Amino acid sequence: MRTRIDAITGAVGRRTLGLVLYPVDLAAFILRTFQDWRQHNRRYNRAAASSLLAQLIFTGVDALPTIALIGVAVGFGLVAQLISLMDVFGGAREMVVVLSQIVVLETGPLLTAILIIGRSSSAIAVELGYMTLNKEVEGLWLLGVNTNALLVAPRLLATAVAQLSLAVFFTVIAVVSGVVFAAAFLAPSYINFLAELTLAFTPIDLILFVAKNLLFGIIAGATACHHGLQVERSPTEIPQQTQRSIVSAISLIFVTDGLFAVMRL
Amino acid sequence: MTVLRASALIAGEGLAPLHLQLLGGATVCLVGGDAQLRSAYLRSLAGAQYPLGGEVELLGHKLSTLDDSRWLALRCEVGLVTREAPLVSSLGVVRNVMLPAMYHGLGSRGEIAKRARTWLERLGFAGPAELLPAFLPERERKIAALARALMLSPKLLFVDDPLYGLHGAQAQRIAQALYECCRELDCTLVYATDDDAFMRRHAEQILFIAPPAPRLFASWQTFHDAPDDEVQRYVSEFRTEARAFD
Repeated sequence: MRTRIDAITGAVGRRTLGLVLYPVDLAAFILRTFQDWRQHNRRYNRAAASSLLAQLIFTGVDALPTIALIGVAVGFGLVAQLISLMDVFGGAREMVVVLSQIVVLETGPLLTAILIIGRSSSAIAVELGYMTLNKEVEGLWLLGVNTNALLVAPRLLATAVAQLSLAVFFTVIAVVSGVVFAAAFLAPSYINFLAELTLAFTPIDLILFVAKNLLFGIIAGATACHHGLQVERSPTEIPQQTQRSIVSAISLIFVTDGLFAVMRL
Repeated sequence: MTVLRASALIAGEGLAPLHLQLLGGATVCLVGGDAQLRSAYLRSLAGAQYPLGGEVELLGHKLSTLDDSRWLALRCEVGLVTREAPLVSSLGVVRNVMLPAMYHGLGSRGEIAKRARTWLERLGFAGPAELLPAFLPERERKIAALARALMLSPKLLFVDDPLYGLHGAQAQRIAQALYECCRELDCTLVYATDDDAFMRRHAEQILFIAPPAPRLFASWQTFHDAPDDEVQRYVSEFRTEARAFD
């Protein structure tokens, strides 16, 4: 009986410690990756640049149609509804504040990050998992290739840049489509919000927007690479690690978003 | 010049320590009935895994004293083609072969592509070079892995029998081409193989990995005629297998 209790408390303890240590482990992985990237890219490295470009196209450019579609849907479903609600409860000034703070600075980055995690991070985790399992990663090490510099860093940078660009693209589409929809079906004067919105952001807001999106992108890329490279022997580890990378990335992004919200208070 | 020195190396349980010294430009064959044990010795000698005991020195560098970046730098001069010979699955064959030279910045893109195609041709590559590895026959994939290792012009190349699954004559032709490429590069070739035609023609030393201790022989003939039960068992078994295979 005592042994069973010990086992249960031990398991709970290990899981709690794992939760606490995971961000530390991930931060060390990210730092090590960028250190390797800097060390091995002192001069222009064509192989790494080509890897970065391929990842940017996959994560950023290829995702544009999906992001645009979801942006329009959010514009119709969320922005237009917010405008109609604020019309009842508040004035025009409050409406601009709500749109800028809730849609542009919160919902846009979060929804974009969730899309990137679902679409690109899962693909990265699976790809690196198979590469590790098939000993492709080891093969590269044996050729003197630092796989952090060639495989991981380009993916981290690409997801960061893609997250920032797609978040801007997403929020513009969502806000414009929502305002246009509201103007078309509720009151034509709502179209003036577009001009007012452009003046609603302080420099601090913009800096936090850029920093938050870059960090979200790095988290999405890093969790995927970290878990993909943890695959060892069996193909069954690939879906397990992919699922862990998705859950960890989403959790970390919500926690980071909360921390940013606290910073702005 | 000594390119490899192993002192009291142990890479398999229950085997006596190996002392070995290889000179530059030599061709050494690693043989033995147990492929896993043979791989363990080859990987330990190549610095790709920690041995159970002893020390390996490659091109004057003691492996136990190398940090990560110096170990990676050494890999440009010491190649290892493993038994699986994996290529990067998301890159076409030519880009796979070009990758290490591109990464290390060994020439312009055009020069590297030309060199890659030359090595592929020299080793007898016969498929469409732009295809992904998954769409190519095993023979072409193995050739591409060997060509990729040659791209860095290594001083020492370890090859862990990547041709084991191929038809005897096909494998012999590729091994012969590999030997000629290594001669041209003045590269020491350490080749784990069961190909007796290759050993007879080219092996300057044969390292036989079997209990109770790894033994070094000066040529195929001395190996073949050795009054050693393990060696004779290996020779007779392997010859039966080779005949059945052909």
